Amino acid sequence: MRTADAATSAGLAMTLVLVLVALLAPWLAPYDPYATDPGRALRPPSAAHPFGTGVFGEDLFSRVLWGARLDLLIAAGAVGIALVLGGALGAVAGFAGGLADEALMRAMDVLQAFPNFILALGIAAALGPSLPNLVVAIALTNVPVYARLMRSQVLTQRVAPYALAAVGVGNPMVRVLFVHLLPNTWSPILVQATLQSGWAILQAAGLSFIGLGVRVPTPEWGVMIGMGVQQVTAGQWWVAFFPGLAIMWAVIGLNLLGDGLQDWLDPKRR
Amino acid sequence: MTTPLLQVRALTVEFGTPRGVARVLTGVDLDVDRGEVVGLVGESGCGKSVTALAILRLLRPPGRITGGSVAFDGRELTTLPESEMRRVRGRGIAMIFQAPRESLNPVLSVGAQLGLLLARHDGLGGRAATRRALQLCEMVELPDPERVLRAYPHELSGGMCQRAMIALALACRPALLVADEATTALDVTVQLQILLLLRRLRDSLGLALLLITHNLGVVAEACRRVAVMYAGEIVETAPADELFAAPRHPYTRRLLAARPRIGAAPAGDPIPGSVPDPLNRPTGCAFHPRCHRAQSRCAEQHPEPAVPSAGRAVRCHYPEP
Repeated sequence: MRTADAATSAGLAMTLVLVLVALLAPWLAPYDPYATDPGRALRPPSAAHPFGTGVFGEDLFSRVLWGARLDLLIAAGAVGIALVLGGALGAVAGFAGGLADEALMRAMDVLQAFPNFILALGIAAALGPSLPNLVVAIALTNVPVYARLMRSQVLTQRVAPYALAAVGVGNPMVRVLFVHLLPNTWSPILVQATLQSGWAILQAAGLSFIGLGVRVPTPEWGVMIGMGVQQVTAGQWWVAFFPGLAIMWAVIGLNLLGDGLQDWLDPKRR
Repeated sequence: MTTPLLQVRALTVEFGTPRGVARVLTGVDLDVDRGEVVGLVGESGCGKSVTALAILRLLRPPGRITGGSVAFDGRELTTLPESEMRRVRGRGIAMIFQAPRESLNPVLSVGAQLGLLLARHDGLGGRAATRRALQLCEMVELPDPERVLRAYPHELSGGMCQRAMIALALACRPALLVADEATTALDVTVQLQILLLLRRLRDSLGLALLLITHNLGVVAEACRRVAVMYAGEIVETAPADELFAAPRHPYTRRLLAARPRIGAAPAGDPIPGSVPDPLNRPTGCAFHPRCHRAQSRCAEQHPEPAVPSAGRAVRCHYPEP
């Protein structure tokens, strides 16, 4: 499986670059991402401005770097909330079964009945455009995925022979659930979270692009594409192109990593 | 006579199914003395495993105990609160299962799994726990204990997994070990090693063993007393040597005769028909439709256990001579 390993390594490298850029943005960025200078508006990429400059003369390179910070934060926050909330709901549904299971899963059905982006759009619109609301909107639309995944994991693991065996040699039931079963449910959920992070970035950018996420001067990739759209027809392609490239980079990197993680997390390959 | 360590009386287990209530155990009587090795044999689906799970109260719904008693060390287990029952599992009675590798948690090392138990039951941690874990590994004759403790289940052979499982079972010093087909999935050579190990543990720790198996060879090798189960009932109980020499219940006789032997034609025809559906049990004796000695009384009247000689019991109207 050499190609798979190479793809995973590439994904890991791309994600690492992304994380490093996000962490080091204040030191890496040559300009203040909010600084405008009408005198240098809409310049094409050059040595001084590798990604060119925007409508207000802002340095796009610095803004893309700062955007990594914001978009990763949104993705991590949204996926983190979705994972904890969805995981807890799924675990409860799986362990409790019966009416609780039925009620929780039908609630998840309702959430999933809407196309993901439309639901996020509705929630973001209802809450009003702001950074925390954007995170909440994306998190809520992703809850059902984790709830279902966790529930299916719990259902299969709780009847695993080792669960019964652990009780049979004297482990208390509650400990079996937390110490023996939960660690066995993590790996697919971690994989899902990695894949979902890419989609969360895409969603955040999408919502910000249509004005329901963060607002215009903020260095966020979706916002930046929105600011550059009108310029594309005028031939000033770089304004929207580089933030788009950044999104692509992030989504591809996280997806490749997520695909490969499944194998890496398998205890049989340790 | 002193009371046995484990005394099961008239244990009845039922499973509610969409087609009705299936009575899977009907009035099981079973005794295990301290330090005694008792075999529980029977065909697949006769209720051996259910008996073991019912004793430890590990039956999953829809299965439930609907009658009878399980007395362990003078305490009634069927009515014990779950919090008390938790202390019985592991400390009083421990259980090991058929699939040794699947019985160990795949994401925890053997040492971690032992450590969890030791921390809880003995309050052992750190170096003391490691010492006790190594001692347990030695007890179950695991080679290279340091490596085994660090290993994950998939890194060990089936036999080593079963030894590790036995070490886990012994961690809390139980008085009774229930082994449900514990050697079935292993190679014959490893099977024998595990049996000999269990016997040595019986000798050195005074451990009582309830060996559940469909393998009569295992019974002949290891057990002092044998209970034969058919369709959720104990049909015959006898000391192992007497059972093999002179089975009294027709089912036992046919079961023994059905054993394959090299160089000899099978000593009888296979038992005709199949195990009865627990939802649709025959009237009278459950074995009568398949029995070569059955008379009209067998279809009408359920036989009570008769005691032809000390230590034996046969549930049959017309036992073999």
